[in-house]
Amino acid sequence: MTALGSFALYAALVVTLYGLAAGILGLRRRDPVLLESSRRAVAGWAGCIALAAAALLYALVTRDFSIRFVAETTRADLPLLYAVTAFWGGHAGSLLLWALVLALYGAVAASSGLRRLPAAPIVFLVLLGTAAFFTLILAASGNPFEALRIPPPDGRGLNPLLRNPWMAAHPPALYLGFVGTTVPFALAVAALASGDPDGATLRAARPWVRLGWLFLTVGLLFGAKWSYVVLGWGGYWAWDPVENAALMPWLTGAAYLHSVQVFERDGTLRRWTAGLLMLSFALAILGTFLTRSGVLSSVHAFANSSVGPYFVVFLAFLVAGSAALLLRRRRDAGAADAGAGGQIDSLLSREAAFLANNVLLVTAAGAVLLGTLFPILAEVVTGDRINVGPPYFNQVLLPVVVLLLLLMAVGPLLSWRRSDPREMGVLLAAPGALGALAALGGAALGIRHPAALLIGALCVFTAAATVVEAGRGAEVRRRRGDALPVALVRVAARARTRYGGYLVHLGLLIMLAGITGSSVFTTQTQTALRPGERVRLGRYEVRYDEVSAVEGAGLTVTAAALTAFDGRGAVSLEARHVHHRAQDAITAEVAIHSTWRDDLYVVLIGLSGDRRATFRILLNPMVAWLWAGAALMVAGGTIAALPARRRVSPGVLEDARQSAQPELVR
Amino acid sequence: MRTSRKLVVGLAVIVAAIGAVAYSGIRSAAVYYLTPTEFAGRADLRSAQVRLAGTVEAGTVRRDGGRVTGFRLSDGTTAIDVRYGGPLPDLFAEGREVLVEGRLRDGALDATRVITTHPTEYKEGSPRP
Repeated sequence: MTALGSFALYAALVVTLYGLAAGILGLRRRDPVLLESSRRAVAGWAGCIALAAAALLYALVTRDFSIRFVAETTRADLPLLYAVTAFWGGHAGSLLLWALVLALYGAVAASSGLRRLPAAPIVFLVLLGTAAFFTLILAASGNPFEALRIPPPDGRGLNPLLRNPWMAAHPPALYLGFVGTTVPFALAVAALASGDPDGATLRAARPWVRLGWLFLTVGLLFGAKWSYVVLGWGGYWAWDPVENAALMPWLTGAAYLHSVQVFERDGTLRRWTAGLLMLSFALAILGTFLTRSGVLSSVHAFANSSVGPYFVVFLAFLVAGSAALLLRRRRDAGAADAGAGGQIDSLLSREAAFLANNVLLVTAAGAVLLGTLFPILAEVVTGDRINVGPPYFNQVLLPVVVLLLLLMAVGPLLSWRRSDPREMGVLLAAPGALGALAALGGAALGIRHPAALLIGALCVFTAAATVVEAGRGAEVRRRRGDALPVALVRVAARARTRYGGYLVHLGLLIMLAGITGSSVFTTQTQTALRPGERVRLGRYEVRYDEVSAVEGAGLTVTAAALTAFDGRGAVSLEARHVHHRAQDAITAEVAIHSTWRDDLYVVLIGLSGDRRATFRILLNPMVAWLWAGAALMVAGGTIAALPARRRVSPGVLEDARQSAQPELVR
Repeated sequence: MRTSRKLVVGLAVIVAAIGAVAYSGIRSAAVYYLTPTEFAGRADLRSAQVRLAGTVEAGTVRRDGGRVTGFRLSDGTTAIDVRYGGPLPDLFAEGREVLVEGRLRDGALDATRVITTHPTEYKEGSPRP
C-alpha cells in the first residue's frame, strides 16, 4: 500500500505538471489538441488522487502500522467508523482530504458544461495550478504514506476528542466548503483574463458558490455542535482562530451570492463580483494555512513547520496575481463597469441595498481577519504573545449585524432601480409594529440588556418583512384562484433560488435569536454533591442519583446519573467521563436536556473518594433555536443549490426568473 | 451619479466608523499571554489584562468550605498568587497546567477566568481544520 499510495501521489504530480505545460502551450499556439489534453489532465490527476486516497483508506481499515500515519492515528481496538475518519485525524491525511475534495470538484468541472466556455482552458489551468500546489506539499512534506522502519505492534490511536460523530463529519463538510471556492476562483480568473464579453464565465460560478457555501455552512454547524457537546464549556463558538478561518470565506461567499444578482441583471459590479470570488478562495487558502502550519500556537512553530513556507509563497502568488488581474481590467473596462455604484439611480433601490450588504459583509470579514491575524503580527513585530478575545469580535460585529438585519428586512422588498418610499412604508408598517411590540414585550418580561432587546426586535421585524415579501408573490396567484399554500409553493418553485434564499434568511434570523439568547442570558453553577443531594438552577432542581463505571474496548466510561425536576415532571440525565486508556486522556460527555426554552447542560467535573461528584450545570436559553434555525438555513440553501431542471445554462435561467419577478409582483 | 456618490460616501463613513471601533476594540481586548517569570519582568503590563500559563503549585490551593478561593500559579522559577472564586474547569487539580486570565491588584492576580490548556489543540497536525 505504501508503494501504491506514494506512486499515485508522484503520478498525480507528473500529470498536473504535464497538464499545466500542455495548457500553457495550447493557449500560446491556439492548439485545440493540447488544450483538450490539458482538460483530460484534470481528470487524470483526480484519478491519481482518488487512488492515493483509496490506498490510505485501505491501510487505515486494515490497520497497516508499517505506515507512520496509520500508526499515529489508529489502534487495533478503534471502531471501524473512527478508523475511517482517522483519515482526517492527522496532518498528512487532512492535506490528502483537501486534494481529494479538489479532485472531486475538478473531475466534475472537467466533464460538465464548463468545458464549452470559451475561457475553459484558463479554468483548467487554474485548477491544475492549485492541484499541483497541493500535490507538491503532499509529496514533499506531508506524505501520508511515509513508512516506519520498525512497525509498532499497535498504533497510538485517534485523538480522543475526535471520537465523536459530529467531529467525524465536520472536516469533510468544511473541506467541501473550503475547496468549493476553487472552481469559482478559476472562473473569476478566466473571466478577467479572457475579457468574458457576454459574462457567461463569471455567471457560471454561481451554482458552484451556492453549493460550496452550503457545505461551508454545514461544516461550521458541525464544528459548533461538536464544541457544544464535547468540549463541555457550555458554548458553541469561541472566536477561536480555527473557527474564524472558516467564517471569513463564509462571509465573503454570502457577499458574492448577493452581488452576483446585480451582475446578472445588468452586468455591473463585474470586477467587484469577480474580486469576491478571488477573496473567498484566498481566505480559504489562508484558513488552511492557519490550521495546517502551526502558526497559531506560535510564530516559532511556523518556522519549524514543513508546509508553512509553501503556503506563504502560494498565498503571496495568489494575492498578487488576483490583484494584477483586477487592476489590469480597470483600464479597458467600459463605462458600464465604471466601478461600485456606477449605475445606481436611487438610494432606495435593490442595487443600493445589495451594495451596502456587500460592503458590510466584507467589512465583517475584514474585522474578523484583523482579530485573527493581529496576534500573529504582534508576535512578529514586538515578540509579545497576544490573544484577542470574544469582546473584540462582539463589539465590532454588533453594529454590522444590526445594519445587516435592517438591510435584510428592507432589501428584498425594494424594486430594482428605484422604489416608491410610500409603498415601502405601507409594506413595512406591520413588520415594524411587530418589531416594536417584540421590544416592548421583552422589556415587560424584564429583559434589560439593550443589545439583546435591539437584536431580538430586529429579528422579529426582519422575519415579518421576509414573510411579507414571500407573501407578495403568492398573493398574485391566490387572487387567480389558488389556495394560499398552493400559491406559495407554485411561486417558490418558479423562483427556487429566491425563495430558498428567503428560507436561509429566516433560518439565520432564528439562529441569531438563539445566539443572542444563549450568549446573554446563560446562568451557571458549580457544586459538589453526594448521591441523593439536590441543587437548584433556574426552574430546574437537579438530583444526583448514583455513579457507575463500564469498561468498553480501550475505554472506561464513568457515568453520573442525575434526575432533573422542573415542577411538572422529571427527566433522567447521564453526564459521563470517558477515560481513553491508550492515551490516558479523559474526555467529557455532556448531559443535555433541550427544550425550546432552554438547555439544561450538565458537565461532570470530577469524582472524589467519598462518592462526592462535582458538576458544572448551565442553563443556556434558546440553544435549540440555533440548531433549528441552522437546519432551516441548510434546507433553504439546498433548495437554492439544487441544479436547475431544464437544461439551459444556469445564468440564462436566472435572468429569466429575475425579469419575470416584477410582473409577478405587480 | 450624485446618488452613487452619496451612497459611496455613506458607506465609507459606516466602514470608517466600524474600523474605528475595531481599532479601539483590538487594543482594549488584546490579552497578553505570558509565563509568571515573563510577567514579573514586564513593568509596562502591570495594569493590563494578562493570561498567564503555569501549573497549580502543590499545597497552595485555598478553600473556603469546599469552594476554591485561590492558589499559586508557578512556571518553575516564579510563582504568583491568584485570587479566584469563579467556576473551575474540568480536571482542575494541583500540579495541573492551567491558563489564568486577569489583572494584577495588590501583588496578586485577580483572575476572571481559569481554563485548562488543551495541549493538542494548535499543534501542527491538529485535527481541527
